[in-house]
Amino acid sequence: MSSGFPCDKGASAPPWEVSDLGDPPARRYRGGLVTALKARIKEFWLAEELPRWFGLSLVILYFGSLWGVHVLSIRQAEEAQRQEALRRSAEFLAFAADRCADLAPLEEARWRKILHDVGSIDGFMALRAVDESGVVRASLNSDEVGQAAALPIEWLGSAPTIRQLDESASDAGGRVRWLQAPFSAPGGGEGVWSLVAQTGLPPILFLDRISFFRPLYVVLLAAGGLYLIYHGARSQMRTKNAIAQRIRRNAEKLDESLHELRLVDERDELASLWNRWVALIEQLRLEVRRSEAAEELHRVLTHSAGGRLSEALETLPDGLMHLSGEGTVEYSNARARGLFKLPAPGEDKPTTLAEAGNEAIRKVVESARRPGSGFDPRNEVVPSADGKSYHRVRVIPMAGTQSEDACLITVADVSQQVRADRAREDFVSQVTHELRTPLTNIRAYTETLASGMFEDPKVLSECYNVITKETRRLSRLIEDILNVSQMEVGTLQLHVDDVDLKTLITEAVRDVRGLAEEKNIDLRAMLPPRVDLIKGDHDKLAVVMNNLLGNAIKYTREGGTVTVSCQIKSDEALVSIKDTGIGVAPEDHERIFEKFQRAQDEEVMKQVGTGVGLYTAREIVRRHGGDIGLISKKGEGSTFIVRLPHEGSRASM
Amino acid sequence: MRNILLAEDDPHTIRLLTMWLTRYGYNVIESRNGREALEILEREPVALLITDVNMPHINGMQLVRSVREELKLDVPVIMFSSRCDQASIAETLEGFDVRLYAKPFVPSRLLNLIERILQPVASGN
Repeated sequence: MSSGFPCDKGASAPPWEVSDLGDPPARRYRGGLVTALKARIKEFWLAEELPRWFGLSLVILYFGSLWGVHVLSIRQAEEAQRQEALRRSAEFLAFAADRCADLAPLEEARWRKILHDVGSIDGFMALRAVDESGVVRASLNSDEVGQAAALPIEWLGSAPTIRQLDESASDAGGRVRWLQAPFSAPGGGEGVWSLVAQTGLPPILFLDRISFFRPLYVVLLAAGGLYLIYHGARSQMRTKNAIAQRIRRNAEKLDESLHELRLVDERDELASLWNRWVALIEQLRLEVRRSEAAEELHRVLTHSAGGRLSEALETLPDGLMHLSGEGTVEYSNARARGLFKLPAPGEDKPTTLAEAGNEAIRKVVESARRPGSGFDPRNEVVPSADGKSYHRVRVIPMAGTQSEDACLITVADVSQQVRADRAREDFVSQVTHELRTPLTNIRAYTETLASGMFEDPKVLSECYNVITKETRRLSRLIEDILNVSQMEVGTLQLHVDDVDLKTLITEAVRDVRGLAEEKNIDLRAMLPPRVDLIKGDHDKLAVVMNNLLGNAIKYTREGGTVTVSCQIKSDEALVSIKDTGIGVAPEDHERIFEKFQRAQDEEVMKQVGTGVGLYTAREIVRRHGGDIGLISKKGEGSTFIVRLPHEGSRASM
Repeated sequence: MRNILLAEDDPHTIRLLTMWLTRYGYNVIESRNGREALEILEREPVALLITDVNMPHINGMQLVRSVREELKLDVPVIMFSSRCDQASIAETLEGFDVRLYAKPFVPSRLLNLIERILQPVASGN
């Protein structure tokens, strides 16, 4: 209803209250007339009424002068017209007077005719011939003849030339024009006669209808047109004023509601444009508020526990995804996005499962989808496209939560486990095979002996040898397996005692000599005469030696050489086993020591092996506090160096 | 024809079987792996093929498949296998006419089996 100026809230209230600035303001004057006047002047000034009135006055002035000029010109034209008429009359009268001079006196009839001709032509009311004594000698009105002529008082004397006189008629309200033209008395007399004429003139009023109103009509018409233009402009000016008022009011700050900036009635295009503009600003402000709110929300989220959780989830090495029932990705951490090969999230459009680039993983999730809604649980290992890695995909339905139809998907890299499992399976099958072979031989040869079918002592001794060898082989294998199991579980125990390396090596060499001889390999041991005792577990170290020597022989071709040497330094004991075998490529140096791993080499694959020999050996040596090193190149033989820690020097027995 | 082709990589098994088979009058041809065995089968007439499952390069099952499908030979085959593997190997080799024999084997019993197989084929000892 009432709206004062907010910007002068502190000041006194305005002397008027304005209901709506667009319409002619309804003012109620408070306070004295002076204040009202002052306020009125202020408003007058602010509302730019002054220029308006000034312009209006100018216009009035202009039209007024136009009208005045027009009136004057009409009057002048009329006056000129009258002058012209007068001149003509006078000329005519003079002409008539000339003619009269030729007339013989006393020819009255002829006089009358002449006068009649003259009078009728020019519309003279009265026309008489007057002699020098003022007696009418001839006249249109024959009653006047012989009488004294009625002349204006001013004309009592004789007329020198043509003269005229206007005087107002006593009655009738019009005006009379007297004309007198002298001529010499007819008949050649000495006197001067004159023709006196009277004509009527229309009354000349100051307020002449035609000359006054005609221009007035033009002026009014023009003024009317101008007013229409003005009216149109005024409404625009009013709109402009209203807008200016509103802007001024809200100049300090943008109010809560921009609504107050709007104009109440849209009387013209400018007003409607303004209102549209205000609407746009309102919308813009709403958007700004909305984005501010979103920012605030985002800030809250990232800084709250939820936000920290989100951060934590992003660093998770497993992929985590929250999938809705319709297949939109509600949430996915960085790893999930990478594994699923999801496109980067669009501006507004959420990502869907269908967009995932990883076929294998996507298929697992899609297979879990129930026809109606929701998901079935899934737990599958999926190989990657290149077969080099494996991922366990779990689909966990979120039944019982707010999003019943959705599911949680985790993807974990289980490549290592899969490979380890495979290797272990291979190991087990390999081991069973390897266990079986010596057992078979032992059994077969035992039966051969028992059958009594062969009496050849050579054959018999061969049987015994084989049985013995295979038994040893079997026991070594079992030992290997036991060691590996213990090492896996972590229960490998060393029974530490004094160990004579010379004895150890000699025993090991003896154990494998048979194998070496079969392949015609030269097996040598180069040992110093005296070797210090070192601390260690004899049996386990024997395993190490057997494994290394066995490998050396296994992977050396016929006719090769295997050399074992030993060296005691101040802080360590070195045993090196050098062979001239197939060698190990540098990239495999580390791998062959790993459990179940064998070099990826044809030559090696040809040999039967479980893949744990080197692993066992190194574990045992490491348990002793030492390590096994390797110097080898493919095709150039290998040298395995066992380093064992040794404190001080103690003489061997 | 008493040629028996032995495809086995373990030298002791070869030695043992050769000993026994020769004792019984068969001619033993040794091959250390499947590839050698196939080559020999192409060259020589063989009355019986004895093979192990695990061998380098071509294992026993691949060997049998090659013999039956590529060489199209009807030669009887004895395959050594472990007791626990027998079921799965039998399934794989269904229709290939292979006799499975479990390791560890008893030589005398094996010889009996061989005799039984080769008896109708052997034309005069």
